[in-house]
Amino acid sequence: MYGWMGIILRVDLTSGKIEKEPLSDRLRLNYLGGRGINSRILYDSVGPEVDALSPENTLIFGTGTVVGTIAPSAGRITVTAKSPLTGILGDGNSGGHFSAEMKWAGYDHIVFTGKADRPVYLWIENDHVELRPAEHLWGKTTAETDEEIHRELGDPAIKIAAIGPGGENLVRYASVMFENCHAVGRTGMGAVMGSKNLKAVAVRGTKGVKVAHPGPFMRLSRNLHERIINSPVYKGLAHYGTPYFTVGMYRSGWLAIKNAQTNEWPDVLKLGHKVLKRDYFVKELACTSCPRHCNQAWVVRGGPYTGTHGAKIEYGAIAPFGAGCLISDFGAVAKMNSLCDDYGLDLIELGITLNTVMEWYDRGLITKDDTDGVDIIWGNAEAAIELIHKVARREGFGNLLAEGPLRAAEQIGRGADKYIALHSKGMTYGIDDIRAMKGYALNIATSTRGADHLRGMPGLEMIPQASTPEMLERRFGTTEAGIASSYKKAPLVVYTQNLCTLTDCLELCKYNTEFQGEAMNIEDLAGLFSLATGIEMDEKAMSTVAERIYAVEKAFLVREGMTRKDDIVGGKWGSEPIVGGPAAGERIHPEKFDKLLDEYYQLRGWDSMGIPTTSTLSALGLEDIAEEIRTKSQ
Amino acid sequence: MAKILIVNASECTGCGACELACSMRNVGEFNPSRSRIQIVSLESDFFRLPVVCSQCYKPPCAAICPTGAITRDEATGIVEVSKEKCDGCRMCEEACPFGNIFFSEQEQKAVKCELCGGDPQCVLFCATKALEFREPEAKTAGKRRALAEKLKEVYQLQAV
Repeated sequence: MYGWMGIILRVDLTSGKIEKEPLSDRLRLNYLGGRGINSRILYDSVGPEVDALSPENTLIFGTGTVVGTIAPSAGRITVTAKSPLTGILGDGNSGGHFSAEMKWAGYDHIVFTGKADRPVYLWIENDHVELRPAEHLWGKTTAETDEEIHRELGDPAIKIAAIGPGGENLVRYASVMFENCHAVGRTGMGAVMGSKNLKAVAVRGTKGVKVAHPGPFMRLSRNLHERIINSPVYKGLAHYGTPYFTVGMYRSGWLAIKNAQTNEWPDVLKLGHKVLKRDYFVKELACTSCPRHCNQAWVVRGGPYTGTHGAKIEYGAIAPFGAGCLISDFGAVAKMNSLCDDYGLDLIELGITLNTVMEWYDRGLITKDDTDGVDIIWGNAEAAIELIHKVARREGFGNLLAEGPLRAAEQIGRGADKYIALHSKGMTYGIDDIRAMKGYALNIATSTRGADHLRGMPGLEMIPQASTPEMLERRFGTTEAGIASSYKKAPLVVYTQNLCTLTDCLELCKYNTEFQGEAMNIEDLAGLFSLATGIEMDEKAMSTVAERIYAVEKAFLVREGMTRKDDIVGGKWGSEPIVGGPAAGERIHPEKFDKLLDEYYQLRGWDSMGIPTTSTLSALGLEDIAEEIRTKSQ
Repeated sequence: MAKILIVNASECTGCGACELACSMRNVGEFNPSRSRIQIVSLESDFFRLPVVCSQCYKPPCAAICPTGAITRDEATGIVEVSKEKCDGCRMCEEACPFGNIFFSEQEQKAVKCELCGGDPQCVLFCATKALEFREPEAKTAGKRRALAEKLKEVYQLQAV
């Protein structure tokens, strides 16, 4: 087989039974790989009756169709299960080198079911697969676990995915850490691993990935590598990583400060990419086959956090921990990033939790009596760090925060929920101020895993140099697609969500695609897929696959009872305008946004309640799902 | 002067594209374990080193080879293994001080970097120029230039 390895590994943790199952034509031709196949397997195996933290949940690791090849950044992985944070479809996507290693070991997907009666880890060396005891690893950080397993198995080339105390203690937004620095962060997949007593997966592979048309595949790959390197936004990410965004987003007025009470805070410059490069930088590192090397290894060289280090630091940490908490010490923010990696916590959900807690405390909704004496005032890094420890250990006040901001607000009562900046479908994302970017806001409302950028943040509305008016007119019907504040965004958002879906199936990095105003588009993905597998697919055929996958994910949500009422910009951003900064006054206009949602549903072929219609599902070959949805709505 | 493969270790990001290009060119699949260039990762120190045959002037692998399978082409400078003559005794692995010639289980022969016959594919995919295919002089000249740049900084600091 070309492209795919052709094998799904099934591991039943309850019985310890391990089986290798051929990857069916139905799955690979209709859902391609990675997130697409993961989502379909989850739809087929986990219904509304299943609790996310019960043994009945299914946990799926999925590599992609071109993972392990030289296609640019072909080394990502999606981990999927029902989410303990949102109760709906959950997944997270990570870079690093694990995914390619898993492919070279001979597997496209691993499906975990059941629950082990004691902590275990899975060890895969090509055809050899075994569950090994992990009691001695329980309680260890992801870095310690990585080190210990390497010592135990003896080969430095082994790649390891592990949970830390966060996942073990079922923190609802616990992450799975790959090589202890790359995260499947969002939606709490680490807690699902913890609930199954699965501490880690270690893999080593020495098989090859074959492609159907080697010559043309190499030529296209080389062409794409070069286009990425020559694209206008390459340098920023290549030399600074995602921290490059912090100051740029701030200058546009798009960075939320102090739990989004304002978008103005000059101290943000102390958290900028130039500070990282000047004072903390060690080395530029890259994920598998990626020309961009956005990982900026860093070390703290002075002050209270001296010696703390990591292989990368993210805008996703700097924004909520720094700007959101008014903490302007880069070293403290780096320390918080590193604690999240060690404990295995999603730094976005945790960051938004801390932002919200600081506002609750400031407004007197909670006091020291609630916080175990922690003085969690704005800018208090030590207090924030103490709360991170408490969350990971589910200790005192941390036990409440480990439930996530929405559940914590419910417990606290007294209108605490109205201080959460942004949420949708049970997940928060109050970093990028989407009130100024209407396409981005639409993506948040229609994301199939809750509020989040990676389902389809339309980079083309944010980065003017990435498009021309002619290109926008031709592809999205209006030049306004490139204007952040315009509501003419439905076609752009559908396109970007489809692009992201396909990028997640091939398992490439979105930062090398038009998601980030970058080089690769759906046509390029079609080319890579066709040359790798030998199965001809053009842009149109690929887009149909993306529509199918998005419909399956949407159907999963519908089956859980979600409709239009859940496709929202929830939290204070749903009603309040931006205060301060260049985008002050921007808001989500309820009627205009409603109309935009209608346009979006129409393009997707969903009815006015946001439910895929029978004819849409049938046209996508999803008659079985159409039947189930119809029965449910009757 | 024949060109050589120059490794600028400080620039390597560990992406592994060189290994993938190499294995595709030489064994027809993407498989780093069969690549003739190998990236060594010292994970906790963030250090990555592409290790590859430097096409020695007097190759110890050739000197030890009992069948005369390993020869150096005077014109191109490439040290090559004759598939016909190699009998898989593995003594060349022993002789090479750097681990740059090794036994292939699949081929049952010794394999090493042969610069893709003069057009090394790994270089084409190296985004940071950690690998370059240039005249040997460029390697040492580059180092001398880097030294000069550094000294310049030192002197300027002293002048302030």
